[in-house]
Amino acid sequence: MTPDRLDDLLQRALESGTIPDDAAPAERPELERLLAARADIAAVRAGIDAEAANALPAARARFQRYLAAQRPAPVEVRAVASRPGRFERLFGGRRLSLAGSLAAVLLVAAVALFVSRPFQGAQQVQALGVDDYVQLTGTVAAADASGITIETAEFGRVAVAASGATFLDAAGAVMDRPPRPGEAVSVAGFVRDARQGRLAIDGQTVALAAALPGGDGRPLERLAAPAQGTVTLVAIDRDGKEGRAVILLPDGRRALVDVDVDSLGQLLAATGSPLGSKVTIDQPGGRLLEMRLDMRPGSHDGDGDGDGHHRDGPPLVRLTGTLQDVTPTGFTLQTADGPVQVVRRPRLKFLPGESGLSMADIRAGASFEGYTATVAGGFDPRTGAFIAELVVLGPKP
Amino acid sequence: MRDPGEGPHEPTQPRDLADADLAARAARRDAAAWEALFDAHYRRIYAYLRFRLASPDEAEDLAAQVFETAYARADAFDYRGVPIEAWLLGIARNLARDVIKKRIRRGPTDDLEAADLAGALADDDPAPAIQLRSDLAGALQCLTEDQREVIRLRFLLDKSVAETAQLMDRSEDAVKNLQRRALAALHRALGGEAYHAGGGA
Repeated sequence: MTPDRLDDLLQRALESGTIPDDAAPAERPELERLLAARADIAAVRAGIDAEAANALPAARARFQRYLAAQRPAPVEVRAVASRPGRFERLFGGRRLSLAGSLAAVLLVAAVALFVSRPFQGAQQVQALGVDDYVQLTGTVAAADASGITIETAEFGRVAVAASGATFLDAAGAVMDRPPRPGEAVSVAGFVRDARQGRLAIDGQTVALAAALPGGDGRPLERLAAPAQGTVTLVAIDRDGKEGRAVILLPDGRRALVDVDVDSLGQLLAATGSPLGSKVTIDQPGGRLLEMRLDMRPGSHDGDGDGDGHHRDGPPLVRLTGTLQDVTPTGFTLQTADGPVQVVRRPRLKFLPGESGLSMADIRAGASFEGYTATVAGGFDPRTGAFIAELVVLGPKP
Repeated sequence: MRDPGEGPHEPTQPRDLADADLAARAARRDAAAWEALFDAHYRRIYAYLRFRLASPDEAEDLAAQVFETAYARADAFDYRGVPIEAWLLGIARNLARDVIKKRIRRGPTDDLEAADLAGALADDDPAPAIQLRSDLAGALQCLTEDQREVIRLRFLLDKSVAETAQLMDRSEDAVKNLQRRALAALHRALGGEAYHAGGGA
């Protein structure tokens, strides 16, 4: 009986499940003991396999979210015809004299081609990323206890997890039922899965809303020039550095716009939800487009919300005041009409607005005590509390 | 020094073309390829980690980190015949080692390896199978790290002797010897009769 021989006999016994016939009588008891120890491990393994199977669904969802975060959902866009650029004006305006050299002409043409190339034809751009705060509209296609599916003009079907969401009726009051198929809604929440065709949102507030026009069905277009239109989607990334909006243009086209986050914050503060608001997109000198409420004459007749601007969006109630007694679960908003108890949900979105705080400060747990704020949400008639959807901070008084 | 299984190796045998194609797509960070890899390997990665760590929650979290780390390093993965699971196991081994080292640095712990198989489960569950697990947990503490590794690879993940040899950077004979000594030590620690045969690696 040598170690090498025992190693070989054991290996053959493990492969076949039985002790080899050529094992000597003196070797058999030892092989039996080794196989018994291996059986003990098999008993443990059965339990671990069961644990692994149970853990798989949640782990898969986590990994899918991770993958989605690495590759934000693209959306196909085309550029809206923009004003001629500097090179195009230079070239088209015939400012080059005919005496200019052929080399100069070719150089300008090459640069003009390079500059205009990104704006030709369809292209894929990032529309939403995981953990973006988003407000969008759609029509309920299906609803059950765990969530709803909405049909949107921008992304097609979007799954909305609604187990923790607040449902608001057309008057902006909390209702105890989810919206029904066929009803138009606005959804506010956080993007959980941003993959194309599998877009999913953790809904915070789902509000019955007037249906917004869906546009002419063409792909989204990239807007890179001043324009006017109606907001149908807004999104802010987790770090509060990038803002995006989808604008329905007067001619029925829909455009994706990268907007300055500060202007988007101001719009949110002014409206609670800018969905349905008429806006002007402008570029007063900066790189990013700024979005502001359209205050054109006649734009507030008939269906305004009392703020002097035209909107036909979700019925979020908007309160302004000073934050007091701020706790992780709520705060008091001291308004001109008296204090209002506000319920603060775990993922309530705070925007720094004009507070002087940064998004990093907010994420690090900065105190909001004493800051002015605009709070959007809805009243719960059963408790009298205000369920906050969004808070845009302002300066301390 | 690179751990066995985590770096590129020259192919030792012809590999399945589908595996090579999957590896190539994974290296390009093809999302569908990564989802397929996850579904194919998650349970075994979890099992490997669960055999080393105290809580199922921690094993679950670390198993997820294995795939996230692998994805982040995808462009550095050199297939060349290295089974993808070997690469993932190499990452799992290093992550588990880091976790255990950190815990040791924090203070006294009995979290090393099998002691923790009993921890969260055995105390609360009187079922005989769990009690057996508790006994086994204690017994595994008597093994060397190499012996525990061969137990994990051979009997938990069903790796062949050749695969285990490659993963442990040992010869096949050394693996056969280690597995015999590991089972013998386990039997002894479980209260079995003294094991008489000696020798080996």
